[in-house]
Amino acid sequence: MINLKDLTTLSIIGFLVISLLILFIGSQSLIAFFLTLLELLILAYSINIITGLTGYVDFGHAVFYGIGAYTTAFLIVNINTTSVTPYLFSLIGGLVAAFFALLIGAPVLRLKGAYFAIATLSVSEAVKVIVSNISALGGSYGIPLARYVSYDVVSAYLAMWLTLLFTIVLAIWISNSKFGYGLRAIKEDEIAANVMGINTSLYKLMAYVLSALVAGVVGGISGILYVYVSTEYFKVDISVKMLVSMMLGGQGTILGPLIGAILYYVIQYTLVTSYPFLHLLIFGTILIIIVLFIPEGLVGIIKRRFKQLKLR
Amino acid sequence: MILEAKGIIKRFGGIVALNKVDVSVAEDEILGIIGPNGSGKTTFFNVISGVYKPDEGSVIFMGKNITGRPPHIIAKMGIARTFQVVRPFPSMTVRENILIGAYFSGKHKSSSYIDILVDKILKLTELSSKADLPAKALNLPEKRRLEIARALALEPKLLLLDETLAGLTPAEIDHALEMIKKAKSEMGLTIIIVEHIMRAIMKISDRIIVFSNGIKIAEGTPSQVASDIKVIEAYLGKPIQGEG
Repeated sequence: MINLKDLTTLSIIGFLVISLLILFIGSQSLIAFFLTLLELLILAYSINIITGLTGYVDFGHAVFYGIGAYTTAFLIVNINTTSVTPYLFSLIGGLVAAFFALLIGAPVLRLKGAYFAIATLSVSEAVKVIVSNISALGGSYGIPLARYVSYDVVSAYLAMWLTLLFTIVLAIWISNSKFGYGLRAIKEDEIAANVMGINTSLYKLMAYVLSALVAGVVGGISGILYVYVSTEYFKVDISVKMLVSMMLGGQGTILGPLIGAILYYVIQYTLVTSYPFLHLLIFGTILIIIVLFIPEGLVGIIKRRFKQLKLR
Repeated sequence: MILEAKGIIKRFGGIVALNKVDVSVAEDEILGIIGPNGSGKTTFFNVISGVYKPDEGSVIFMGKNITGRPPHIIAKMGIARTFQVVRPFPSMTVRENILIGAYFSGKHKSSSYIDILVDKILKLTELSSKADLPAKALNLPEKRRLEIARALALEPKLLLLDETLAGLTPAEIDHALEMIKKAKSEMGLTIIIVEHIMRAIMKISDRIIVFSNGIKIAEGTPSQVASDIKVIEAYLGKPIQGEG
């Protein structure tokens, strides 16, 4: 009989294959449709590393998405080269985001619960304001990239797909590693984890840096794709979008972000044309329901269902 | 001496939770610590295990100064503890809870060694039949045993037991004491045990230290301590002085 682990493996492989096939057989518009989904998916996996695994709710994760995007745009504008693909710069964007996570995380990860959430939100807003005042980064206008790169959905899709593949491999590695075990222990009881020999400060920081790395790369790719980077990249909506997708699916799991992001995307897509803001209301309500009644998300429901089936 | 704490002072704002406390423990000993509520017993454990940094004083463990070191380092050096309020990792299984200790004890171990260790501890703490249940499904005596099991998985030299017997029935207490003695001899432990249940602590301890208001007021064998006037005063209050 099929169990949750098999279901996870099948879904992940199935999705990776389908999303790759679309690149070859899909129309331009279908590729563009899936591209935004891939972006949301990676971001959901990204925030899952820090929030899903350690329980530290990051309301400002978009800061790393923005830093990645700005770094990439800055490099494209200032390093005038046609010999390398601009997507290489998005990798550097990820590294710079990871470096900032190190700086931000060291003090902020000492806070817990709501204080951590508020601090991350504040940091993200602060960085947004700082960036909009730096003229080398285009101020509040941002950095247009149309002179340097052209709108190319196919290349962006490939870059995004490869990033998704890396992110999923990373998620699977973490969940099977001693590192992942330590993170789970931190989520369950940080003091007990510390007394059991886990270097909780280091583990939390490592999780934060890894999640920032992924978010930074995605930010860079998106910047290239939309040939424009602005302070919109730091918007709290983006952080919330990642959080809701992850929590909807099931935080701390491998299947969760996949289910959650797809569901979020489908709901948003169906509503956005006729009611541009209705999905926000719906997701607000869904978020409250999840937090109150199904903290394990949809994967939790599936898990329970499997247990009932086994008992019969 | 395996552990020597000298002149430990720990303040919380204006309250002095520990006031110049000296405690030393010999290898292979069971040291009991008793005292009324709020006398500083748990604070003392928190200082030893690194959860709190003492304001003054030093803690020497096996010849090394561990004062103010972080908890995970102290755990790896060989001091394990349980918590007064049980705090196993609730959604992990019993086996996973124990595995955490084995994984993070800082000792390089093969997976076959870890499997044997975990099975041995499960058997010792009589949790083998519950190994694959999530910790939150256990009842209180089982959770308390799991706390001990998890600490044992670190393969410590020194085990700090913080009111592991609280809430147990007399029969369960006797059983738990046997289990602690067995664990001690099988794993070569030195133990400090904080407990309110007099009958139990008098029975198991080689030596007893009494805390009151953050001060060590008595020290000696169980019978010496039980007849100490200061100890009786701390627990029952002073007799009323008559006018003659």
